[in-house]
Amino acid sequence: MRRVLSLFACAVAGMFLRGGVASGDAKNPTYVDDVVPVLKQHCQNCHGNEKQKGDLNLASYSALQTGGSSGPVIVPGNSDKSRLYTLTDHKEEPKMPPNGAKIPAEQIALLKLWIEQGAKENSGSKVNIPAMPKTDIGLKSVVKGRPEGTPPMPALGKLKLEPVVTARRANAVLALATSPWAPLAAVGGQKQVLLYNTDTGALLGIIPFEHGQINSIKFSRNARFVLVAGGKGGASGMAVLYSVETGEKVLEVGKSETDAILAADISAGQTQIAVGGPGKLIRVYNTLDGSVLREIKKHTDWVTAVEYSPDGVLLATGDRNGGLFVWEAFTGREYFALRGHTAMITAVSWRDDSNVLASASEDTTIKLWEMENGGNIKNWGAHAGGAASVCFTHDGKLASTGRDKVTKLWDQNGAAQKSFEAFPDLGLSVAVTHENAKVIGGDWSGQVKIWAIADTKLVAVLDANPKPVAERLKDAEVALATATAAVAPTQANLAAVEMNAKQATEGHTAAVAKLNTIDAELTAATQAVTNFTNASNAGKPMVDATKAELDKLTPLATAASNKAGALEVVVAAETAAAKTIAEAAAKTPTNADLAAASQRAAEALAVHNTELVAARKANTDSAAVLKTATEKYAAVAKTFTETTTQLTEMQKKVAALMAQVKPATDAIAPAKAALDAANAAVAPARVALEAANAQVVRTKAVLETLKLGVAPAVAPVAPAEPKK
Amino acid sequence: MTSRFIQLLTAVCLLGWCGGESFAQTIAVYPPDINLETNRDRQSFVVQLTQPDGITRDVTAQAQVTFANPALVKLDQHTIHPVADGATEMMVAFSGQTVKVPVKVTKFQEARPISFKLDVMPVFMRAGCNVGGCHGAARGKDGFRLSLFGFDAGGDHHRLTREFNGRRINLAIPAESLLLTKATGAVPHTGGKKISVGDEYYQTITRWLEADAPLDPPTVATPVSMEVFPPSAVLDGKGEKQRVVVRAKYSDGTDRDVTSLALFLTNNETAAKIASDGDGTVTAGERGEAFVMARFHTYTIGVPFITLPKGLQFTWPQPAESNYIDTLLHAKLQKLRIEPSPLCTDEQFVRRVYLDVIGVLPTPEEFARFMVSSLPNKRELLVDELLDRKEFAELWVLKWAELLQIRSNIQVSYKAMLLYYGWLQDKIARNVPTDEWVRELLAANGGTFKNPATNYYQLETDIVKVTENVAQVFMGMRIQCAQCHNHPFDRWTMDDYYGFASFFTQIGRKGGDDARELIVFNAGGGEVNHPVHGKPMPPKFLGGTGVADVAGKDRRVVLANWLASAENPYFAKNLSNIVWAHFFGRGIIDEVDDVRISNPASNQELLDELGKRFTGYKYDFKKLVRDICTSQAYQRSTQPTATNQGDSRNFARGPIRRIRAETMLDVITQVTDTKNKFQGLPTGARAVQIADGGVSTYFLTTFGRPTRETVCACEVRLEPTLSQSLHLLNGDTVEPKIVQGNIVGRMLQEKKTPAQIIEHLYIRCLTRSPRPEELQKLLELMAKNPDKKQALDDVFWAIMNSREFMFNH
Repeated sequence: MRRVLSLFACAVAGMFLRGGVASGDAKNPTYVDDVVPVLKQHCQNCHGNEKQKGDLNLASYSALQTGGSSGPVIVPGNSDKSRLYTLTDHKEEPKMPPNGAKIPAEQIALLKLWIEQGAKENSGSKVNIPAMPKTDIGLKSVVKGRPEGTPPMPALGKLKLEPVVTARRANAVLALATSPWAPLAAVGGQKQVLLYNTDTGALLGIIPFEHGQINSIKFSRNARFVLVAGGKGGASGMAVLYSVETGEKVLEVGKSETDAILAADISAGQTQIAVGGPGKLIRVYNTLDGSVLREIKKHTDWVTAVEYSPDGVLLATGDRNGGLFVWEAFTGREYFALRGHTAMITAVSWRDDSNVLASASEDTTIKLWEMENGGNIKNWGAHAGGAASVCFTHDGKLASTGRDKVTKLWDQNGAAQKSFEAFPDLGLSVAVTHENAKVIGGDWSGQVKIWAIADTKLVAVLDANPKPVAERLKDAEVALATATAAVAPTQANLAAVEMNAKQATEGHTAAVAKLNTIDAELTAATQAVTNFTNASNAGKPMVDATKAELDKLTPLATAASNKAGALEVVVAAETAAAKTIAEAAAKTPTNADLAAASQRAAEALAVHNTELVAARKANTDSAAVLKTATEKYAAVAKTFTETTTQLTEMQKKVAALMAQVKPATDAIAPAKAALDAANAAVAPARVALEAANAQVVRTKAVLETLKLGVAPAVAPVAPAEPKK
Repeated sequence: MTSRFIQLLTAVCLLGWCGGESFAQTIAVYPPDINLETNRDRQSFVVQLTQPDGITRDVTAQAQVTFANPALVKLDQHTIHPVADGATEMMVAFSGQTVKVPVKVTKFQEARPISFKLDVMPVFMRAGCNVGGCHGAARGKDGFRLSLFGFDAGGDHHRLTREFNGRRINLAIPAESLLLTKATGAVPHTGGKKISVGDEYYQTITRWLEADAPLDPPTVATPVSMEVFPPSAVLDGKGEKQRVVVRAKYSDGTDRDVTSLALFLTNNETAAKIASDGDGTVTAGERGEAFVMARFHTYTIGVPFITLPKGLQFTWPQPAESNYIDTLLHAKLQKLRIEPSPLCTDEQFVRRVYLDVIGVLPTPEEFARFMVSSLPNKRELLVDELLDRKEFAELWVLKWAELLQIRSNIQVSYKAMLLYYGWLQDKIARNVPTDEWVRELLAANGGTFKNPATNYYQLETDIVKVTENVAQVFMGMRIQCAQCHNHPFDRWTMDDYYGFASFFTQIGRKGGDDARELIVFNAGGGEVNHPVHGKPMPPKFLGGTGVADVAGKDRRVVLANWLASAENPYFAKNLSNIVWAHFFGRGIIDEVDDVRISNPASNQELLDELGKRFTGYKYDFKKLVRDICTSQAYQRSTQPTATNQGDSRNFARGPIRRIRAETMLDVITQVTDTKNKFQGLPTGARAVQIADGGVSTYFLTTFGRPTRETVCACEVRLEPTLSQSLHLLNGDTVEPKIVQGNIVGRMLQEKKTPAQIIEHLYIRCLTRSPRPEELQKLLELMAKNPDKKQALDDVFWAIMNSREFMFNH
């Protein structure tokens, strides 16, 4: 154990001292410093920890000394009797490496020299370079949920902003993760991890990763560290833990990996790092000293997905053949073999309570598994062609993406909640921000997008291949200028739109008022028509009655007049007759007859005079009655005529008003529409202004981040870029 | 240095010797025209000098090359690159001769877009990535699979770019793609280093990655043909070199120099060596002939190379010629500087022709009759006589019964088998033209009793097996490979295979009245799906052009009419080759049922001519046999000459063959004057008459009688084995038959002297009289043994155990 430790220590120290290239003293080569790189490059694929062709393992010094099925491979001090050298130099059969050219001559010379000098393990037990300071990051207890205090964000100025490399384009987005408690996303780029603010989209810092391609990024459960894993395919793998705040390397594991790590995770208690890859085994490292805690050999194909449960108790792993296992993190014992997937497991994700595991597979499905009995509780076809990534949110939803290019959000029943704009190519990775409000997806063509869950709108586009700082500064300045310049017109536009709205409101109000007036008048006129109609209707019988009375009285009056007239004539005649008789009688007073006749005539006259007086009175009376009646009729008739006239006028007025109602009514709709339009225009204009302002804020933030970040970075002596 | 000097001297001497004949020295430039499209195109060329003596030299480096308009092209050694659009001529001058080659440059301003199928996939083939032992294996290698020899471009593209995302390619930094780091050996690769950083292949893959790894649009051109230059070469001595140029033509009318993308093979590394991944330079080795092949896309084309000893002096002996066979064989031998063996003796001829044509030995009487004849054409007369013997037909019934797999088994009743055999026997005995009965056989419908030809479809009921058998028996092609992937050593693709199989998908079978009878009929429906795209292929003749018109017809009738006709380029040649192989022990293409580009004919012209004649004879194969048996080639002695010693492919000497099982037993029975009893046949019947492939005896099995379980020509085993020798020595065949036949006893009774008896036995068994020294020795031995009969029987036994008896020579 001590030797392993010192081995590790030497190797790490060597790397630190020589900028990542392990090449020891060429005159005194040692196994650790000089021979390992050669063996790893050419031999360990077949003679390593995974495969031991001919029972030979060259991955450790002790195993190398044991030799293979045909005996020892080195005889210290005698290179010609050491098969390690003779086969490699093609002096004996079988030539090594098989099917290939000889390894470079200088490497062969190195092996020879090393053996002849006694095949030293390291530069001597005396020179025991102290181990890398032990990094005890293990936690005493695992805090479930959000840890206390402000969750860490990259400190401005601590992290590089200058990209290690700006490639010709972005590669497929293979690794993507979000901080569980801060607005922070980590995107795997080329030889670097890009840390972005998920609220502003600003690039906060760049962490260089010099070990090859990045295949996996995971934040520690407390958001303090980010674990980056990957390597060079077919050659080497490494998993490195960085501090989120400073971007500094905390520890690294995987020096003996012979292929790129495909998936890795750090346990919640931060005591273990589990990695998996084409070696088909899960290797669990101790974070304390980087030693291998255990190797789990159960998978039958490349291990492609690894994740510790949030409580740190379980470890879920999936492989390229659809194999899915859950292990006890502290013992490595199998907890469940979850059978059901028929193609490669692309991702696993735990629910915050550690009771449910989600798995995504190339068989198109996402499956949920409970941890009581290992049962498959939900199973749905998520992405035609294959699901590439799945991620639980803190509030128990799931985000996923896949070969159908569409990123989706699901509830735990597998019911689709949201679907985001499709990528131009296969969706590969997905993550959800800490506040469960945004989804981040990355695709085959290198696009990384942040969407708001609420309205599925695009929030920001992240660059997986950022340009150099100088260019970004220039771009940011241009962006800020553009954003700032965009504010004024937007403002003006808003003002114009608001003015427009005001006018439209007035127009609308006027139109409505007009209609109201017309309506009121119409109501009054209509009322009047009604009244007059009623009056007219009421007056008519009175007119008729008066007329009837008049008509009845008129003949009576006429009769009385006629009677009086007739009597007048009779009386006149009789008076004349009487006078004659009287005269006659007077002349002849003896004539009795005459006197009698005169008596009688006088008597008759008297009667007739009485009658005449009566008739005259009757005539006068009836004439008076008739006059009264006539006058009454005249009055009634006049009133009626007036009423009728007024009714007609009112009716005309109503008709005129009626004609005005429609245009007035019609005028309202356009006015309303204009109003609505004008009002509607206000909101976007206001949003646009807000957006423009937000853009200014964002671009300013980006620019300030850049400026702040760059300024102190320039101050200390920048270490030379490690040359490849 | 010295050798070159001598070579020069020789050349000079030859010129001097030829005197005014120097005009016979010609140069040729290949390819005959040069077309350069787009700026990255290029074309290499080769200048070949043919000397009056037929020897060729690669004089590309020595020839003077000029251009009518040098502004259009740039010459880099032997490769022409475009510089500007236009047409010009390339003048190639060597030793006073000038050859003009038209050169055309078009679209110089354009760059041809990188193509996955046309540029990248050929690299995988050339570098050996997609061979069966590596990523071309059905399950791939170390987690990564390519289609075998690239038959599935779409699938390969998917697996490279999108199967395991991020693993194999890196579009951001192409040089870090695993595809490149593995292939260049930058990281450990089980297959080793296949390409080098910066080489042409590396650049091609890099350019493809830098173009964002596109898959070709469906409109992309496809290769439609391939040419290999020069068409032939005769190399003068070890170390002589000849470069080969390969050019592919595409469906859009363009062509490309694919020399660097072609995979090279040679079928005789000692005579002509070529690196499989080299620049196409052939290096001469020991004397011999080789077929140098180039493979690109699905095409394989071979070029014949002959290597002669340096400065070989050779005089062609002008041997006599009987017919076209000799003319064509001699032309080849002359080229190879091989002197054919002289004619064999009459004794050898009569034995050889009896065994080959009728499968029995001449009786002493027949032998005597032939030997005493003094007619100049007595050999021809004998051939004619033998062709009319019924044993001739019986021998060929046997051969065809093997190819048609006539045997009874669980499905095929003894009666059906017997009827089938009878049907075949009738056709052969009546000398029905071969095309006629093959047509009848393949198109057969009806009950296996009523129309016995239908047994062909009862003996094999699997569609793909029937397809493969028809191709193998009647066309000599083994197309089995193409069932699952494009044929690795031939032109056949999966499309060809399933197009041909479509002819046999509609065979209906149902039971007849008799439980043993099966009725074969045209079902009118049924297809086999192509495994790559899951759809059936329209019926297409193997090697024919276009889709066959089968609408409303019995597909097998359509096929039969084409197959047994002159339209089928393989039928007549294949049957001729089968006949030839019977008489020479080796096909012009060998094995006879392994016709493929990578197994070329030893004399293509002869094979073509035989096929032509056979067609001309209206498929009367007796006439073909007559041509063969009367040729000088057939009558040659088996004794090699100094120059034909090392040659076994060009029929320069008589063939030596072990006599096949049935004939062997018949001959032993004949010389001992005994009888055999075989199952189903009367006593005294000959072994060649056994109808059922399932019937055999210990003797026949030991001597390699085929079980007829497959159609393979390899079923008949002719290798001598220890158990055969032991059986003849001590087994229950020779010794008991000597006793049973009692030839010696009878002759002794006739008071023949031992010398007479020995001579008789010699003639009887070996068709010759004993040489005096043989007779002398045998008589001396005789004298020591008082029991004359015993001694003579021992002589008889010894003769029958001699190699001379076991072999036809």
